[in-house]
Amino acid sequence: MLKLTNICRSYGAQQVLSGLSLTVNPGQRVAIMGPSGAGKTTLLRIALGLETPEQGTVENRFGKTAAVFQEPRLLPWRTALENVNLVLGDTLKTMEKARQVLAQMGLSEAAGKYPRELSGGMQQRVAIARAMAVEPELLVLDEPFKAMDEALRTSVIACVAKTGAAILLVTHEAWEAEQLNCEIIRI
Amino acid sequence: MISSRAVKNLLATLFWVAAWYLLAVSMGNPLMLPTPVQVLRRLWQLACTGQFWRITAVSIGRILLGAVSAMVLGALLAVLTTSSPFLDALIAPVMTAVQATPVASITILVLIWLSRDFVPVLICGMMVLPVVWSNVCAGIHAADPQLLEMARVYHLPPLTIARRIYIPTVLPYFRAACTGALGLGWKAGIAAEVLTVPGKSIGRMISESKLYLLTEDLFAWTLAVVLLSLGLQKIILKLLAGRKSHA
Repeated sequence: MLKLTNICRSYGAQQVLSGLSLTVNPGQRVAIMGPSGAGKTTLLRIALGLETPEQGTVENRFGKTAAVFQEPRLLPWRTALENVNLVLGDTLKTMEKARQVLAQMGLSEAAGKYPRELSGGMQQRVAIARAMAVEPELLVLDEPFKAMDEALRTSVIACVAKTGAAILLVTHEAWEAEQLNCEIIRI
Repeated sequence: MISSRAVKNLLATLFWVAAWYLLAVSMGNPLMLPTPVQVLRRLWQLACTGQFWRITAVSIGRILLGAVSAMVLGALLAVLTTSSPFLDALIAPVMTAVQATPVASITILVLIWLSRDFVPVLICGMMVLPVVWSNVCAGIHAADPQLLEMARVYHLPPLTIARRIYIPTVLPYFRAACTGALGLGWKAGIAAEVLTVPGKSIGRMISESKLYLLTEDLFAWTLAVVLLSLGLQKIILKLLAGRKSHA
């Protein structure tokens, strides 16, 4: 379970989050929606432990947590396959599993390519494959589909929807939240 | 195919060698300034003796020992100082002091404490150490914070973070430091040999050439130092190029 209680966060004089509380239970899917600058990404970063709230508490009892950020955040000097394998232990034994997850994302032929050889959408799919590969209990997604065209977006969302993980999604698109059967929270 | 840059370099070199030749001929005194031909002939004569290669090997050995030790120590210190502000505050002024102190002062001071054979090793190391340390520190600071956050979210082990994020980021900085610092260390090491005149050394030969007014020898050994410096830099560049990242 992920429990955020009474979270407050500001940047300088600008209050971004003010007393926000949120709970995500195992298997539950929650989408955070709101205008730009409303603090959606800040909320995810706090949930992931990358930022500390000025007030409030964060309790993450999920075992494995994976995240897909707005940027792919792939190692430029490793291939797509090696990037996925990195989170699986970075060993030869885990290479096959990494290959399978890439195949599920339709990226078999891109496995040996470096990120600079892939389009923005393909890089983002590698990042999603990396997150799926760890079989997370909590999957945190920060507008992960925005670099993809509509057809591709639909197929990737369908792929992500199969996971049994709890999902905390930030998006501007209500239909993405619907496709993932998310409960929508507006901030 | 020869590049236009190589042609330009060759023409510039020929121009300066011709200028040297004309100046030496106009002076007409080989004790003051020998011609390039006289220097090359003397270098060839020296190179045909076993003694030349033994002396050269010992000097190269000393300088490489100092340079490689400093490269390893500089990299290790950079890891320590970037992970501890206290150590950074402690070490940074020492590095600044080492960089600012003249080679001659350090050499004479170190000569009081150490064997003359070891002084050039230490002096070379002291020239290389701050350059490698500061460059590796810059490389570590340049690691992409977004990749480090990703590593944190996925709980990557510290060793994996070092191998997969830090080392590929730092490598270009380390490579630049090594190539630059080696030339510096080589020159400082030879200068230290000239000042301390250890048993077998290029520095001793340069010092003796000056003492006995063997100007051709002085020029020939100096030319050997320049050629060896260029050769060593090329070898180091080749060795490090083999470890180039795909970034």
